[in-house]
Amino acid sequence: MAIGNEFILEWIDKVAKVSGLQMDPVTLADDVLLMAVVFDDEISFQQAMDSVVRALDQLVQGKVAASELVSNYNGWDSYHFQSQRTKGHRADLRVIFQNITADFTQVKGFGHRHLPA
Amino acid sequence: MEKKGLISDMSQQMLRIVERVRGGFQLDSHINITQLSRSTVWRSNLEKFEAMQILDRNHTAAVMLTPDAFRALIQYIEAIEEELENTQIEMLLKAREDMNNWETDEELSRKAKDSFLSRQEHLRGLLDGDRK
Repeated sequence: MAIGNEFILEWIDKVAKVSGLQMDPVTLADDVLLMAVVFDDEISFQQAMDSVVRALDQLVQGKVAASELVSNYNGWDSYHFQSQRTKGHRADLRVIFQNITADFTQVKGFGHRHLPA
Repeated sequence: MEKKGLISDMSQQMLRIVERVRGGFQLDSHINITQLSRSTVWRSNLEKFEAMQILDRNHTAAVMLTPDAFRALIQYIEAIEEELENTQIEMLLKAREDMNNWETDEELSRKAKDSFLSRQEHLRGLLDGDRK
């Protein structure tokens, strides 16, 4: 069953409210939608979006070690993390971002690393 | 921060092993399942070919790889995945090059929701339609 609008809007809001995060509004809408296309049942969608918000939060707060990042995409970094909280789950999601200042992190996009957009 | 596992970083030896495995099975590179524990002749063939078919009554029941061959294949897959991902990220950055309306918090939330709702018909089509 496809993810309903109310969940998409709810998670757009939750991502936007991550303190210190900057994003382009259109790309935010696109990326939450794409997550709903990939994780097409409510439970896994909620879990995956929850993982996204957690990862974004950690990035903004500078809690991710540089060694965990893949860099050199013209100044943007990529952080890989898992969609589900089961131990040993593959890091199937990524965030493309750059730390602009100590207070703000710009996010270019987030989503599944392998499933097509 | 590092990029790992690129094909160019794989050792020549590992790449040669992958090519040998891919090169197809050669005439002598099979062993009958009943012979596996009975003789040791196949060991030198396995070392030579890196992979062998295990036959059970003339059909291929399984394929046996040396540990090195298995490791080389996994490494190769990972290297390819890494390069594919790099390309996808570059494409994404290119596509979103001019999308720089950086917003935060309430403004970001409001504008993103508006963006979604104003394109709803098209976007819902992606969610609801063409499902495999």
